[in-house]
Amino acid sequence: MRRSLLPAVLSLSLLLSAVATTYAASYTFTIFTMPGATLLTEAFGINNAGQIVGR
Amino acid sequence: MGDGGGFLKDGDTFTFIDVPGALPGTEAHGINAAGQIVGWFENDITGRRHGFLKDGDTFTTFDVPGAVTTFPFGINAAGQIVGWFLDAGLTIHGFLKDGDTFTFIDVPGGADTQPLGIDAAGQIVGQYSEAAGVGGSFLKDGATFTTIKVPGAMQTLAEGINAAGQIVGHFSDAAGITRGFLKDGATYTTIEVPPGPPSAGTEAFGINAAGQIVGTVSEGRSFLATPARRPQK
Repeated sequence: MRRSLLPAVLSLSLLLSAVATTYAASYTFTIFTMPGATLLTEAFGINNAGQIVGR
Repeated sequence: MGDGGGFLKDGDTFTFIDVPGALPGTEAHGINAAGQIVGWFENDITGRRHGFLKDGDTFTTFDVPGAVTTFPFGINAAGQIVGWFLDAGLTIHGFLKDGDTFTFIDVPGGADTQPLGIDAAGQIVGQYSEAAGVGGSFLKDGATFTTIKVPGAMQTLAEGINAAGQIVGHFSDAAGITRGFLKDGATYTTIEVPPGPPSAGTEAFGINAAGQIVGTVSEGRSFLATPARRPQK
């Protein structure tokens, strides 16, 4: 059974100048947790459409 | 509900992934461009895990022949699946599933080979135990295995690879702090979710063709890192 829930996404867009071995990389970070999760939210994979899987 | 199951996040919408008939705890680990998802589940109290492929609303389950337990991790655009399994003697080996054909993968001279990601060209990344028992990482391109090691790292763990051959994972530095990395050719870049150590350790697990990276950060949260557009010159 598949259940769709409204997201409880904590958007935290930050710009990082990452420590780089040979050059600086900049990313916008979005932090999120799975709705209702009280323990861990772990994102493991992402495809070209930006869909993310995890547990 | 929110704990103990797999999820698909599509934009701001989360969909839970549960293999029909499985015990709570389905884990989704890989997704390809077609939206096919792989992972594993358990359906009894023996602790044995079984692999699944989710294609649309259809779940197909599978086990590596002769395996006690099967852990699929990655799937590429061609539908090839990689992961690892425990044999009857509880020894870890890697596998590649291509259609109904399974090929076993073992890093020469190493042990506990655990393939975790595969790209469109069939290049595979993963982890293994080196001769000294220390965890290491590999890139398999055809029959050739190459060691992946972040310069200066105590331990490097590769997790994912995209169609461009960019590899992500995480490493422990000399101080034992966990940091994410991106390997692009011969160049390694550290990926750290702000504010960074010591308050937040970063583990990168997956990367797509656009260079977007997903993973986890301290306190049980996940992150999506999107490359910032560089100014046009």
